[in-house]
Amino acid sequence: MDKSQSNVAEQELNPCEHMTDLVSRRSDNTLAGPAKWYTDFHVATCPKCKKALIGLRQVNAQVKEMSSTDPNLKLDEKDWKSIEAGWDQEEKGFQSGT
Amino acid sequence: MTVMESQASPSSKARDEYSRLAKKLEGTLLTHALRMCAGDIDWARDLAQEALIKGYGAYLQGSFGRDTNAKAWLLRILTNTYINQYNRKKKWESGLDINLLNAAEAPAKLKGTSTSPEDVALLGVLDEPLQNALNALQEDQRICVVLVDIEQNEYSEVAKMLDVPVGTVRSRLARARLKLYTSLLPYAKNRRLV
Repeated sequence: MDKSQSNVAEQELNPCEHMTDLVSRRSDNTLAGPAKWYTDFHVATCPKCKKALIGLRQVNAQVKEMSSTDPNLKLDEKDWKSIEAGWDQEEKGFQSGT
Repeated sequence: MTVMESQASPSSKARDEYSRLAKKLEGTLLTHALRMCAGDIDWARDLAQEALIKGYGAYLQGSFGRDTNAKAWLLRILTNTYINQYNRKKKWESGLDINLLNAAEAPAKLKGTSTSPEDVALLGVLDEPLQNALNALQEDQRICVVLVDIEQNEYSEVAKMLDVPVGTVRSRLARARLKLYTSLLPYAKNRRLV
């Protein structure tokens, strides 16, 4: 493995293959029962899965915090003309009962 | 005349009301559409247009009540419109291996720093890097992130929407989150160093 490959590998999360889905679900608190208990037990003794769980929780938190609106994004005049034309069609359809 | 009465027969008032709603929420719709469309602004505009037109049809039919959350209602229409397109495309492209098609699409700027990632938190990653990282995901993984992590749908609901087993949603989401971490780590580290 050359240096660049090594660096990429260092940056990746590598949970145990059989734990990948479980760690992901543990990170968003959708695990329950024996699966949750087993995952917690495994994570407590496995550094790779522990690191993955911490990392995935950070990812989830960031995604949830994405702002819901970019104030710079606007439909342009051409878009609104198409929409108005579509609304005309919807009104016609409504009036004709279709 | 009440909102419901105005919906019973299309009038300029009903249209004005819906138009005001549409203009108020256009930025939110486009932001959401852009996330689903991997940053393709033309596609996002088309999607937002289609959703606003469909929404008006539903509005005239009376599906928008006094207590309806306008933002959630329009975002649901937008998402359903996207999912319909996604499912149609999936059937159309069913002979192709989408993993191979998307394998080389990750932007180069998301890759490669040489410092150690140990204990580095992704705190304070900006929206733009996060959007870039989302864009770099395969479509089937990205839509799971949007529906589960952003829209907060249950795994089982998303499985129904996408017409796939719930286990498929779980594994796509797990792979997507691992990729997001790898993509975002360089941004987080750079931000801490500044």
